[in-house]
Amino acid sequence: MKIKGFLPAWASLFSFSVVALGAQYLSLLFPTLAVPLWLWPFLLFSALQSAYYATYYLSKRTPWLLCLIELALWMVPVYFLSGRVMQVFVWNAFGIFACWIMARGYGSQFVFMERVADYLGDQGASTVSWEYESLSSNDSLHVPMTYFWWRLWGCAFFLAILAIVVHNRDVQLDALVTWRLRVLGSMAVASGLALQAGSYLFRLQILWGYAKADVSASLRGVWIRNLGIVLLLGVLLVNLAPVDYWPLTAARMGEIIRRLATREFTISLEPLDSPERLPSAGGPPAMGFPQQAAGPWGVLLALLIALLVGGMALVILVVLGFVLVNLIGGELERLKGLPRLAVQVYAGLRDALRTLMGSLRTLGADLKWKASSKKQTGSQEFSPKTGFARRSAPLPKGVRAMFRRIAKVSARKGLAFHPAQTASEFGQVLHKHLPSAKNSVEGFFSGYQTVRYSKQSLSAAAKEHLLQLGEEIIKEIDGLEKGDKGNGTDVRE
Amino acid sequence: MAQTSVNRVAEFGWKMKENIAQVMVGKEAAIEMLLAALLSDGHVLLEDVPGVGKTMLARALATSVGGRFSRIQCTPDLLPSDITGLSVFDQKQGDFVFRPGPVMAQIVLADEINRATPRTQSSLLEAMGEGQVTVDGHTYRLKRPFMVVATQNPVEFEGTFPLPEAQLDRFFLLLKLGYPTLDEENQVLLRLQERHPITDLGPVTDVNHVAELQHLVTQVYVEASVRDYVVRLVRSTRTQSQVQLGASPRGSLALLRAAQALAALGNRDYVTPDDVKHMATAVLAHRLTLKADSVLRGVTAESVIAELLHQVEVGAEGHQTRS
Amino acid sequence: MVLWKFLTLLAVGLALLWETRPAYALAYLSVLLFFAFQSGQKRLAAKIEVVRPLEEHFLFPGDQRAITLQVINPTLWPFAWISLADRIPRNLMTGQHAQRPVFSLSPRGSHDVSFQLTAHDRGVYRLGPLDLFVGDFFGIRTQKYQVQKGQTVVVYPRIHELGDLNLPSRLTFGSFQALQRMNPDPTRLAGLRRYQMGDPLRTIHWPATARTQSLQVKQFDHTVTATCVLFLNLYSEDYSVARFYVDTETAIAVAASLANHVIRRGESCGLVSNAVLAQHLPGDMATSQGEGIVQLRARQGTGQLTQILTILAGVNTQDQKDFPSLLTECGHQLEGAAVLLWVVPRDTPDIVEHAWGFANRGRQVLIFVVEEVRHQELLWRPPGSSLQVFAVAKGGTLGL
Repeated sequence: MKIKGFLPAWASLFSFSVVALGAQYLSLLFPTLAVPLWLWPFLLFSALQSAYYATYYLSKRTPWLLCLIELALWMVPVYFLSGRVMQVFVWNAFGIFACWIMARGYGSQFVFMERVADYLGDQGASTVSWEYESLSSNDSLHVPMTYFWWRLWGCAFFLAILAIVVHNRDVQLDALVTWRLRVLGSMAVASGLALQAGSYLFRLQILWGYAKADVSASLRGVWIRNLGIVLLLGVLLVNLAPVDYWPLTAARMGEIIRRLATREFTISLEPLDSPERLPSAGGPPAMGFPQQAAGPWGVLLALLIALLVGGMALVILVVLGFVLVNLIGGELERLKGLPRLAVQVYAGLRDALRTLMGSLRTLGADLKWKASSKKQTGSQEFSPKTGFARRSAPLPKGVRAMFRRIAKVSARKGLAFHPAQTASEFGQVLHKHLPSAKNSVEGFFSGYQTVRYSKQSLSAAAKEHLLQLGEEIIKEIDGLEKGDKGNGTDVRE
Repeated sequence: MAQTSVNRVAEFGWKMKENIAQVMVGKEAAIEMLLAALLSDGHVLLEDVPGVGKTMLARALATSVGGRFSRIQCTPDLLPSDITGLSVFDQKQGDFVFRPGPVMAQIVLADEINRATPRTQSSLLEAMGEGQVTVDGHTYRLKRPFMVVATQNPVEFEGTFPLPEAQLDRFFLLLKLGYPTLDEENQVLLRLQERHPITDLGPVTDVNHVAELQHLVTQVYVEASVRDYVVRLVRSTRTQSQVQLGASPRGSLALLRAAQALAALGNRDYVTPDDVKHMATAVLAHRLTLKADSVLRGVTAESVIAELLHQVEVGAEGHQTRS
Repeated sequence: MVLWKFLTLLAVGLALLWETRPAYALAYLSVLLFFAFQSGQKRLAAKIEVVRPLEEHFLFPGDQRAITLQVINPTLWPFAWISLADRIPRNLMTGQHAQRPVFSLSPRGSHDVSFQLTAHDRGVYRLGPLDLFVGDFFGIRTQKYQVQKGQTVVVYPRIHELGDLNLPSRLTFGSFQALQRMNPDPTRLAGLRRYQMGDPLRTIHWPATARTQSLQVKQFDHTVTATCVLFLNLYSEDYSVARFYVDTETAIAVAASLANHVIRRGESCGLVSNAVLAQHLPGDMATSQGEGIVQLRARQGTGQLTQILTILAGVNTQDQKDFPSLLTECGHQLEGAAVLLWVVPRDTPDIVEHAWGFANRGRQVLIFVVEEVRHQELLWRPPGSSLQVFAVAKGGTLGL
């Protein structure tokens, strides 16, 4: 899936967090404008709907009436849930509208970005050089990225001003509101930066397509993974970095001016730091983010809520995917956007579950075999006639069978055993990828060579030891992430 | 083969390596291969630029073994009789007396073999192949062990007679020493600052012991799949598109023997495919004749062997080998 | 960028004056994005390493070859995207467009990039330098670096069978005088003679000595080398303007084909040409001698053929030295050469006169005319004649 599939989700998450955060601050300033809890999912889903609709289906020819109907469909339940009180409804409806229109703007922008050829012509589009395209190249040049920067920075500035106003009004915040603000703030930072980076990648993908660049297949995955690290650092920074070290704040300067005016000035820093003089110091923090550096609980809570929201989105996608797969059947490849994402998520989850069940069955069979093998005596190699049979293939019993099992398990993780590899070369590959199982790998593969190529037969104890080492290696391989190697197919090195 | 026998081979290898290391800095892999050739009753061609220690390595080997050592400096006017020896007419006795040539030693160093004329080369190579020389109708058997270490400089072409492919095949291994690393070169300067350590080098074994070990090495066990791998690897050189003439069955035999010797030096009484892979380039590369087009395109025999080692199935667990 | 830096300062001022976490968050992120990331990436991107194999590639026209570069990120900084633009000469490009690989690099990661080359025309080409563009995650700034390390690709001239060049498929060399006595060849026993003082003992023939009861020594024939020297005329004034490209390329292809033929037969072959080496030649083939002369001593073997073909891949015409001058200058250096193969556009009287001179001194001269034969009487002379002229097939029929 292209990055385009993710962008509306990030845009709607950003719209939701900005609007919810703004509403939260406003409700602190004007207690009558409180945001009810039931409105929050409405804000999120209206943004999702609007962003995906605008990205995939909305066009210039779509009649305004349709948009009004679309908006009305959101407003009707809000009206009833607002208790049909007009003042409450208007405030709630404004929140919904703000979310909806913001997400719509992003969605439309994604469509606009794709139309490079419409504006420049095919020839022009193919000569666009992405390398020189940056904010530093020409500020006056209208590039689509500027749109996103202005939105991101503007929203952040707006929220910062609101926070300052709340701070100066000496509004008392309870713990719940503080945590809510913290979580929404983190979400806004993460989704805003993700949206910025994602839309930039989207633009690059469009230009790469026109310029026929040879884009690496792993680029998107590596990009998203590295971006994840950057976002995590960003969220940690805004939550944990110190905020109260600067001596010349507005409050302090005001105090100095006031004292000068009233001739109360003394050269001492102590009184200025007293809790009575500084409204921001002492007591519960006046702002959404506490003044002290946040502890790990804030981050944990933010992650939990992010997980919760992610989990809910996942459940919705899975259900939608299930319905689509069962309804549409063979036409799945024609799907686009959210439905396609839903089908892919559903199919991925289904495959993962099947693999998990298969592994559990194998594990069960192994345990059974181990239990039965203890009863058997002798150290001869495995005989399919006498061995424990599992479904189609005989269960590994000897060292050579264990080697085959290791090769099979590692192949599933992208560390396939190449036919032109020797056993010890394969062992070296595993050694490289399983540094924690270094001794097991060395011990097993050395023992395997003896079993495989010499005339010697191992003692029962040595054989048992090798099998044990093999099991340890398999456990370590199971712990590997699939495709750890990169391309994950050829491991000859 | 008993483990104690293997231990003897491994101990021999360890002593020889330690002794040769007194005069040769680094080059452990080359020394190991040279020992493998000695234990396999094979001859070695050292090909490299001047000054990297080819002659020194051969001398150190000869001194360490303790047999009779002789050196032949090959030049264009060298005659076959200068190598094999000749019958001189003794006027006192009124009969011919055989004066043995340098080839009658046990370790023979043929320096710059490609400077000798083809006829002289072939007389030496015949002695290498047959283990005997015939002069004036008399056949003289060469003492065992008999090993020729020949050197040649691949850079110079002027006034040289490149060894024909058929004669290259008689060499068990072709080794390239390469330049030493920075640290190794520093060590060389340090060691040779006062006097050359070769003058102090003494034997660590004797020729009878070497002959005995040569016999033991042939007893190293080769599992059927490893033997099959050797055959398939050598046969694959004959069907490679870049190769005009692949390795002969003599090449298969040499590769197997080399792998046996390497396994024994590694204190193992069985051969693994790794031993085969380790020795393949040194044993097979000089036995290939590349197509002229391939040579012009910069293809080397070493690169062909490396490619084949990545292609030919080892025949390990879970893979069906193709013949 | 100036605007965004100004806004960053505004955010910082806002945060410092009113100490609230959201204001600080904005300030921190702005500083991070518009200052720290930029300077960090600028500093660290310079550490990206590009490993290019240094060996030369040797190709024939029509060959395809992939060259692989390894891009290594030795830092802990992730690079969102990297794009490479290698300077590949048009004669080596595959397809119409330059290949533009784009990839992402993780901290301490590496990526292999392959460029596909297709050899179109002969030449000694230099790949590189390489432009490296490094971008960030957010589209703020792109940096450009240049990697100077290059790589040489040699595209040999086309080699044709002699039959395709309208030449006898087996060029025969006639008898010629041995011009120089070399070492006695111990493989060629010529006879015996009585021992004389100073004869080496190694040459004593002991059976004969025993029979005759007097010391007899062996006599050997002297080694005679029958070397060929290929003369290629690349004096631009000698070629017709209308067919300049085709004829010069034909001449070079003929020279390459003759060298190939001679060396495959096991003969020694050298090369002399009044050409200039326009491009850098790999290895130790610095054979230019004086102004406008390229010379390679006669040797045997595939290595020699590689050298001749590499030189022919890089030669160009010149207008300073004509062919007779070349013969005059280099004639005295040809004592070992028995057969002279001249590739010329036309057999002018001056050239033929020189050829007779060489023939009279015991050499065999074969003249291969690329454009038009003037001395028809020298065509189709009996094989082995000391002077022969051959008309080469026109370039159009050779696919030039």
